[in-house]
Amino acid sequence: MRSSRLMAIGSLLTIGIVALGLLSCDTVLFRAGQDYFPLVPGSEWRYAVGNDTVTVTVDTAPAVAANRACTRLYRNLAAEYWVKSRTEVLRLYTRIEILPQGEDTIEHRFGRVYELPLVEGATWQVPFKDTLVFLGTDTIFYSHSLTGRVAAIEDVTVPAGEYTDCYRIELAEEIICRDTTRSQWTEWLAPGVGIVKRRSATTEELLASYRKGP
Amino acid sequence: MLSLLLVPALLVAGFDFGGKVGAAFPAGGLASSHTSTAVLGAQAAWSHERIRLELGFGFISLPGQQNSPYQLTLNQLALSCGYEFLHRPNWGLEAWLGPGYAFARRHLGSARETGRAPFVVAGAGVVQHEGRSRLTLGLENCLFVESAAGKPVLSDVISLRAGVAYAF
Repeated sequence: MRSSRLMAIGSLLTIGIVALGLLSCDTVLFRAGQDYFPLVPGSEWRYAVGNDTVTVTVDTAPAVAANRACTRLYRNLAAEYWVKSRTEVLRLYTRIEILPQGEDTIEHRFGRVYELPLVEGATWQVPFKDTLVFLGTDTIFYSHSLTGRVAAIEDVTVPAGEYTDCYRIELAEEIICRDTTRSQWTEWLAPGVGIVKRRSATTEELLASYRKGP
Repeated sequence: MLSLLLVPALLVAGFDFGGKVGAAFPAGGLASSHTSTAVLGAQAAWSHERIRLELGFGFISLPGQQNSPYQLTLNQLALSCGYEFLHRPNWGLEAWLGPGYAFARRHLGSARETGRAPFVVAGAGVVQHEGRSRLTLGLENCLFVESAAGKPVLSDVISLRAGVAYAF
């Protein structure tokens, strides 16, 4: 009788202390257990871009690209190929240049876009360099680098709703071929959803709806 | 002189101090990006008959999957109340429950995130008493409770632990 009373007091004390602790807790363990780039087959994201809509779907059929098993996404019917492991998310980059002898593929490889797991302050740089020789004498120097930084943890409100514990990722890309192209954009990744917002110098994509695959 | 020696002896009567080692296994959402690791800790406890109050500290450093330089470290402080529901002269079966508070840190290279989370510790195990030594072997679950978007979210770490203590 006495011991059961003590156990009851102990249980109440436990609940009380944990409830008090909740007032001063963070969500670090919640973030540690979340998937910020889910590629569930059949999933669909709809983004509002000005007056237009961009629809991204994950193909249900398995795909192979650049000799690798991967996941195929359709962005407004244009195919993209992605590979996700526990340490990184890769995307297939393909670049075709018009050379004197005709069209030639100068880049066709999976390159890292995100380093996983996402931790605030993390940075990564993915350089790719190649020198192409054509017609025996002429050469083209090609360089493609992507840098990423997990800049902050923020709450984001978009037409699809409010998302907490989003990682704000700043990305910068530089492509040097015959001329140099530089672009910068920022993405917000929400737990269990993926990209909810993307902003570049010219456009802003906001998640309008998300449907997780079966 | 004798009374001076008796005072500290009476003060520590029923108390035991010791350490614990074990293996921790992330469960639920944490299992997708973390692997199992060792647990190290120390505890001080006070026992009376079948009841035992323990203040324990535990350190867990969960590494990331594959060869990632990622780690999640947890420094836990817990106050648990145990009850030996099966008591024999040299051994027994004990269950314990209590609140705790963890200081968590995630790091990937030089990037760091820190946070705090309250948790509930619940466990059960076998206890062996032999003279002044106390040995335990048990299974314990730490259920971390956090609040995300106003909703409680749970994460848990299961550990198999062995402890040794010296009873005064």
